[in-house]
Amino acid sequence: MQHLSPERIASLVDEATAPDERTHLEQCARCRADFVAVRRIVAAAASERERPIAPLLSWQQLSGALQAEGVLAPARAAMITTPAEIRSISSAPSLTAPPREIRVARGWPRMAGLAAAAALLVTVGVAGGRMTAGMSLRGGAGEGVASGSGAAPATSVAAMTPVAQYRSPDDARATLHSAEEVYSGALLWLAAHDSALAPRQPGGSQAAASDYRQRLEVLDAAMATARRALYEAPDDPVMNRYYLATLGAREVTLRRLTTVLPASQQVLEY
Amino acid sequence: MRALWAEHAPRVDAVVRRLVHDLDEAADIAQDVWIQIFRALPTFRGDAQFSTWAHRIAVNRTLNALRRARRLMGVHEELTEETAMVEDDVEQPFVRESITQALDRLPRGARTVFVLHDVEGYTHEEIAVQLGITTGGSKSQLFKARAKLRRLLAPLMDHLSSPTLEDGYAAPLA
Repeated sequence: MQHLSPERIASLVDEATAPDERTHLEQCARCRADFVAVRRIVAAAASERERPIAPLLSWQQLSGALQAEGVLAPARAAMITTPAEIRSISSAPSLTAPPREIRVARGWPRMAGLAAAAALLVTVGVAGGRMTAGMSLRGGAGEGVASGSGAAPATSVAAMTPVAQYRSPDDARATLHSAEEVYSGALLWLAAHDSALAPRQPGGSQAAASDYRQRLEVLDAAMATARRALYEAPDDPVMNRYYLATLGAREVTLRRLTTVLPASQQVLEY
Repeated sequence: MRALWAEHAPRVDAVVRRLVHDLDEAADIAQDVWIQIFRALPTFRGDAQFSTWAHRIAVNRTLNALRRARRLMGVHEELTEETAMVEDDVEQPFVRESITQALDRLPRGARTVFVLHDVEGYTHEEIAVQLGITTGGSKSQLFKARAKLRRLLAPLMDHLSSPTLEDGYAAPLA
């Protein structure tokens, strides 16, 4: 029998061989070496999928393009690099202060949607914070979510926060942008380092998985509400940032869930 | 947004880079991909993981960009014709150890099919829909790409140990 063509050998990684082809492969060192080499290449290619690379462009480049496209509002503080800057922004009182340039002009339904979304998201934040501190979501979160008093935490948080003064709408937006970055960074850091999120005893990883699933449910509800609000006010910077923050929290929770599942299970879809 | 980008760019950009030979073109396409991701973010419904959703956008936008680039260049090659091209240095010793680097030597059509199938895990049916070719065409492209990679990587692969057929053989008998 003649040597197998290179393309035919390449196809044998996925396709069946005829008996005479198999016999040839067993007897011909050259074709066998080609086949084994192709199989190694295919295996190596599959492992490439998870190999990250350095980003192809910097955030400065991308944010400039996003601003040019109107996807990202111009920001004063696009870069936060030093711990002092982070501390200074983290302690700024503006995170929960209402941005004064936003006007809701289309009546109560829209305003109610925004308020409900904000209240729910703040509640989620409170529930998430409790969980991060090692408290069970089952016992505590119901006080804020299921009892129907979801607006209370938002009101009390707002009442405790001094109203900040800004020089301009851009100034307020820049602070929001910076706060969002700090918040997202802290969220990711907590996901990677917070031992309070580790499986608790008794129940171990099973209880942790249950907690994560419950948290995902709450976050999904928050995202759904925020999404509805965004349909009403797609350019509202506050709702966009709440939505992004919730999305980030959801990703982190989903990732943590995968770490506590048994080896035989994985999250394919949620 | 920045945190989201920082978290996912290493893998999203990797998809673009694998599909696009030219680094500058890859960077332009990656920018387009991220603009699309952030623009479409409010429509992300959480049915899949964000990384999976972003990955799909990256593949679709990259393939669209490649098609657009080919039209602008007035290149109307059939995929099979591309694969049939012979580069001058194909038979030269090729000692680089990275498949990614070897991919740069493949014609665009063969490279695209190889990346989608063997790296990204798309089926031939999905590739056929994405590229507007038949499943048979997709298979043909894939096998030609693998064969060419085998030639390109021969110096490297042949330095590895020589396992028996059974070590590397798993295809069922007909």
